[in-house]
Amino acid sequence: MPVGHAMSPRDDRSPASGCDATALLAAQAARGERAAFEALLALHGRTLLALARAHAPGANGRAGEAEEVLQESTLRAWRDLGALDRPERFLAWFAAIVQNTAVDRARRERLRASAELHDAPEPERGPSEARRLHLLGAVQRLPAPLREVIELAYFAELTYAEIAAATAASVSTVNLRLSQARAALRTALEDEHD
Amino acid sequence: MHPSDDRLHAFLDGELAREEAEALARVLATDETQRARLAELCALDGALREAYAGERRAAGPVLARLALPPAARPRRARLPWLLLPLAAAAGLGAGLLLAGRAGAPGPEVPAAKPFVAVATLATGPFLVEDAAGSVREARAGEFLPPGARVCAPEGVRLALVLEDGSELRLDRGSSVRLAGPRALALEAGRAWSRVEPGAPFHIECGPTRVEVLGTELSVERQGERTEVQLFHGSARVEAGGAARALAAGESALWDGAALSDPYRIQSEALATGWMLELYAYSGTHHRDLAEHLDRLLIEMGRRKLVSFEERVLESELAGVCRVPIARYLVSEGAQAEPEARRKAARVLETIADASVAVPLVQALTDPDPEVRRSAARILQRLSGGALRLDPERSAAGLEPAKLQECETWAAQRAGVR
Repeated sequence: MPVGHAMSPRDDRSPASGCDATALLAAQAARGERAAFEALLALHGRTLLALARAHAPGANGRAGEAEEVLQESTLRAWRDLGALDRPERFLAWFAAIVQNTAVDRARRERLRASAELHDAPEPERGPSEARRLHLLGAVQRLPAPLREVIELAYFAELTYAEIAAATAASVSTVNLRLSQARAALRTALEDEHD
Repeated sequence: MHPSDDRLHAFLDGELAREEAEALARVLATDETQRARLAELCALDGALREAYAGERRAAGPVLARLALPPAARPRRARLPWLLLPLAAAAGLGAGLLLAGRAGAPGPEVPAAKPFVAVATLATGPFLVEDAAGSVREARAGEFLPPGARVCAPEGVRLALVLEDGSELRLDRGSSVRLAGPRALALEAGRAWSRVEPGAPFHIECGPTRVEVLGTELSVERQGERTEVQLFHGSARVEAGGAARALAAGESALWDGAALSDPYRIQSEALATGWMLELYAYSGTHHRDLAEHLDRLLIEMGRRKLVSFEERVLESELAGVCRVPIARYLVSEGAQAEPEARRKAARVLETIADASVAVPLVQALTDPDPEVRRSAARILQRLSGGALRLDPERSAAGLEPAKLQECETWAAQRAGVR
């Protein structure tokens, strides 16, 4: 059950039914099976994009940046798959690649932006759209670990256990970070109203 | 009770274990302050969900474009990858990546083929017939296009993962057509599926149509006869103008003329026993294998308790039933069978040895005081009195430190038996 979708108790049987399939596909992909790697992209595309959104600076404000980070990460992952020695940790491994790619791109971007000015006028927006953008902007200003859990919970709609697998954190850490992230967002929205 | 922030968030997200969620729900029912806290959280959660729904819609095309450049074979052809930094520096990285989807020149670059499933495991070669009628032999790792017919020959079982993450396993001699997203047609044999939550998942089987709302089921077709067994979740079966709603643990049969009323599945473990070969074959499904074997043990224990008198279980069958009966005793499914559980506890008082120490320690916290009393007597015997367990005090409930002592002792015994 995706995070935030219901207040019913969790199913205790199996936190992430696709886990074994992921490990199996990752092992096959590491042996050079392209189909297996593409299946991983299809299965986890939204999770990987959520990670890219969390780590690409200004991803919500600059259309396409998260996609570029993800595309570049995908190439790097395919190139480096031979180094994946624990297929069951594929998502956490890919997350680290996304993070590194975002850092590299940000460095390149800073060099390029130092000679440019961005002063294009903001388009007119209705109150509802403005609120939405304000909220997403507040997410962007969260520290990276908190931004990451929000993106994985709301964009990728993952459960705590799935977020834990993707971030190499424990379920209780995920719970704590989500709690901290929401508290910070509430404060940010209250400040806006004051 | 003042639930901490993280517990309240976990409750909102449906991530608490049932017992804790129910306890918190009782607090919320009587405590206005906690309700107000939850309401604030719900408002933020709603705003976030709304904001991200738009983001997800906008991301659809991005995910559709996510692919490798079709010609990429990195580890077997290193040279092109050595050129990547140069291409990136020249602003060509994205262009290279988009070549397949943007129709860039280059006749050697085929368009990426759509797929609806990938075969993750097969105990041997199987057959795939594409929508155009072309048949080829396939192996694990195969990408399967929409409309493909997948046939597991006699002697071969296989597992697929569908594009939405749902799992499908086919028994020997089975044939299924991948009709589309969240739609299958079972043409022969037996299939098991664990369906990802979301829109209804449809399985057609001759005149029988199953709408699966979640989550695990088996469908078997033999000639005109189709049996649907639902292990978890809910489903609706339609055939011959009749319809039946199935709850977890229920089955329905279309015999070619009429659709039966729902009836109880005798044993999920036995009904899905054919998948053991897949678990064992993969070598990576240890969790599934362990779970399945555990379910089999529990079912064996229950059947022995139902089928045999206590004196038989305590004498002729003692050597082969202590582990199944002990597993049954502490299983979730046994909770609704208090008499069978008490019988299990009585039998174990006679036949238990160190091999069942771990479940017996679990039984010390059983809801039934009779069972707790028996478990304490057995553990006292097995430990030679070292655990100093008083059956009457155990029946009233043990303190955590004593429980921990018992757990440590049992773990050590399990390790050396």
